[in-house]
Amino acid sequence: MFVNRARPFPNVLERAFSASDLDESRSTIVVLDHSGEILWVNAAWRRFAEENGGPSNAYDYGSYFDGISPPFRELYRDLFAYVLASGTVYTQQYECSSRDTHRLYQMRALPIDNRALILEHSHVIAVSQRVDGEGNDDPLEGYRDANGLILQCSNCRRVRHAVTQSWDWIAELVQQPDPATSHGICPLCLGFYWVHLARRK
Amino acid sequence: MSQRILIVDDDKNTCIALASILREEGFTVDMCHDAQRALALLGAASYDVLLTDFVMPGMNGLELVRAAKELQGSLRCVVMSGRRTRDNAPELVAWIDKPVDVDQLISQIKA
Repeated sequence: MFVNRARPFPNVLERAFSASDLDESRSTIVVLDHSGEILWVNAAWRRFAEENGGPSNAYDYGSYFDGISPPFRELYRDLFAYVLASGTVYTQQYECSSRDTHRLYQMRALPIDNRALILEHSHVIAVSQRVDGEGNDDPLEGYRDANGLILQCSNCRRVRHAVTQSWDWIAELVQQPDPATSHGICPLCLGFYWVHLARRK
Repeated sequence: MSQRILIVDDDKNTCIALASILREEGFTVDMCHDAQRALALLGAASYDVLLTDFVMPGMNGLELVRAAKELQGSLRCVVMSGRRTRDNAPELVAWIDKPVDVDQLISQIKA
């Protein structure tokens, strides 16, 4: 059981986000201040650090940019500054494979009131690979609820796993939605939505 | 007197968020998560606006609108959907995209 005790949940997120929701996410989440200092990381972040040979408190302190190799450090510093200043959500996919496994991730950078940035890294799941690997008749079986519906976030388009409740990014369902797709909103997008609604007043 | 709105969506996050926004705008709001419960509420009380999701367990949003109109003929109905394709439905005030644009929603409700 991984519990995030190292840092208090940032004040800037308190009204719109729940620490327990973010801790339950299978996506790794890190919250940065406007200069790139790490304010908070979720349980999945700590778990990922431990599973990859680091201590669970890796990256608890210091600048996020210290973990980025020098040729790209300034690029990301400029990019995140732009995201904060413009209020624009930024998304990119990148490969992070091990020797044996090809893995694709999606990063989302969500600006919060020009004061903080939420970075979420989600595993991109390829349904076609799941079919080959698991031999399921319905590769989306794990994503269907008791009524056969798939819940997709109407904002980020990730889908919720019916058992683990994780929100996964499945490219096939963005390009070609399943007919039995019900649209809701994931906790991260809901929090982001709240912040913007509060600003609307 | 404020308009009374019934929100129907199987996603609880969506219901709670929309109810909170519309209450802040001065509307009276009830919510439920499936069509059968919605029809029970519509049978028991008078509403001005039905705001419903499209894909839900059992009955879909358009089927709910048609059944609701049998109960309350003057009910104004808005269906929310994350899909790009929509049926032509003259009994609707509007289709609204998900995620919902709050200003667009409020203008549709007040129209």
